[in-house]
Amino acid sequence: MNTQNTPKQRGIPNYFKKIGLAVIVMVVAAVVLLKTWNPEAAQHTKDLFNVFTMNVLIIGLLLIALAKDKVEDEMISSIKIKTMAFAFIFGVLIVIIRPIIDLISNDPITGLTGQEVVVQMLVVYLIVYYLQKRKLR
Amino acid sequence: MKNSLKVERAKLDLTQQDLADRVGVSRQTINSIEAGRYVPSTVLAIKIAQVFKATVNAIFQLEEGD
Repeated sequence: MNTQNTPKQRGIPNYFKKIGLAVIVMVVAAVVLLKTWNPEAAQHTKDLFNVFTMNVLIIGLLLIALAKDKVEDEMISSIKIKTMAFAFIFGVLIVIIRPIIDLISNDPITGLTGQEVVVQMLVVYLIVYYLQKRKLR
Repeated sequence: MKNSLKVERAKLDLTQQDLADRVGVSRQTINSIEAGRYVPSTVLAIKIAQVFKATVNAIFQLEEGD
């Protein structure tokens, strides 16, 4: 079936979804292993590990988000664009609202790191996208 | 925007999957167009019209407020 309805369907091949999922599973496994084997690791090592795992997690989520569906047509592209816009607005709102929530709950005000914001946006994108697709069945 | 896709499909005895295969989209896309949840691009509207040997206007009509 020819599913190339629009002149150019952007995205990476579908098998990158599996690669992205494997990357995420490996990151989660690495975090669990480090927590169980070496809970008393030095702070510097923990920080380095956190930065590394967050970056790899972002790469995994991004691969899943950018991979094309098996049947990628103009409606799927349209859903993806709308969902990306939603995830972006969600990210902006989280950055604005989070310090206010900290203030209300008397917690120390902690700014979100760029990595945390990006992970949240990608997770929201994937959840909303798959929910939208589920509605089409 | 309303459309007479379902009626035209019935005339030619085509399933949603048959039409989807002919115009190169998924069955879900045809289903969404029929239900009015998705408005097709100009390219897709022309392809659909060609399948039914009709004009785009004969199949897709604007409603008040469009």
